[in-house]
Amino acid sequence: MESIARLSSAPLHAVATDEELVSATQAGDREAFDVLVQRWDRKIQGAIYRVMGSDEDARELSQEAFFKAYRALDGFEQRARFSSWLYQIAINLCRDRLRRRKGRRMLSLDDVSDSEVGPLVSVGPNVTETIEQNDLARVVADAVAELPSQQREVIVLKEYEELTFAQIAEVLGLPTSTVKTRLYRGLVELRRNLERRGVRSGSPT
Amino acid sequence: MACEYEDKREKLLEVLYDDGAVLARQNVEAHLESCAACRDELASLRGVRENLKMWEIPQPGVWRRLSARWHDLSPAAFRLVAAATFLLAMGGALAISGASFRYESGPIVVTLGRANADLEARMAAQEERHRAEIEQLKSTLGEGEVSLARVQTLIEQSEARQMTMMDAAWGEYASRSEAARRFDLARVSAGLSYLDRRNDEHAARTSELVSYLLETSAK
Repeated sequence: MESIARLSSAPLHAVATDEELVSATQAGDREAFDVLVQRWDRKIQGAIYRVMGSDEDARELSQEAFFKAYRALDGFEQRARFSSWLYQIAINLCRDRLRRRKGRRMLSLDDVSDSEVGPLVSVGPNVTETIEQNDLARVVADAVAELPSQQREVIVLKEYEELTFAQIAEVLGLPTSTVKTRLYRGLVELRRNLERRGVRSGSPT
Repeated sequence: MACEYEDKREKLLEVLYDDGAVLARQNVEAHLESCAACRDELASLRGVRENLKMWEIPQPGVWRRLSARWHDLSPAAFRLVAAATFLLAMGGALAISGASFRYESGPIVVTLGRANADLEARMAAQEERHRAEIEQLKSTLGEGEVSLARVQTLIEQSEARQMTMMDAAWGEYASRSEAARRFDLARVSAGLSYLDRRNDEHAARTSELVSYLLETSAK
């Protein structure tokens, strides 16, 4: 009976909501948490990578985030979204690590190799264009890394994780107005960082 | 006329991201129709967003390639992987350091450090000369002509010479072996450090193994 139940739970898990999977995990279904990991692993790694600027940190901290979430899941009362809670754990881990590395520059052009930046959206027939796009990606990464961590967090969560203002406020435990203020200042600072590197952002109407 | 949003330009984000209360967005859009400064600012922020899109990152699957997913390893499997890593590291370190294992009618003898073929050959040759010397001595004794004391003295002198040579040879062998051992173990450590960076699951364990090898080989 137990094996039948285990076999039949897999397709159900695939269509279950995060909240349902959390409840199942809290009831003892470990496979339900596996689905949550598979569902959010890529997003959490990506967010950590952009905040920390390191794929090694992304790998380590994302695993640690899921470990912490699993251990604390029994106490999670689902007052907030599971994803918000998970992002919160991840961001806090990033902050802890950044505090320990206080004063150390997070990213430089030398740190971002071709393999880390990866291919861009499309590789057209124009090789020069592709090379220029790769250079731009490095410049953007460097400009983001220079931002104060508070602004960088908000920009990563908004631009790359595509959370709403309300969700970001939930993750960071801030008022929505503060989220918007940090995001706006971050974008302005980013524009300045890019212009310093010869990259213009948009043109007046 | 001063822009009413000059000190609260973050309100433009509600239009920029199409996020926020509907009424608030409509108020911003109404303001934009009459404010060129805010329109310029909004266009500039859109440009920043376009630039941000250029920063793509590699798929996490690449990052996961060399590290086992935590939830795919049962405790037993994890112990098996750890044990296999231990044996691999031990075997690699011993092979690199030139360790040899011999079974000598009882205990298994482990020798660390590279064997010095020349020294062994010299010691074997010395032993052979010693045997030949004793045989020659025996053949020259004759019955009753040479006292046992003299024979004993000759043997002791030969053994003393051999011990002196062995001490000197052993000192040279020991210093060479120690240097070779440290160099080899440093190479193993450097190699393991490379593996360490690529395999975060076993990093701590491989470092412990190197320390263990250093400790046990020094005993």
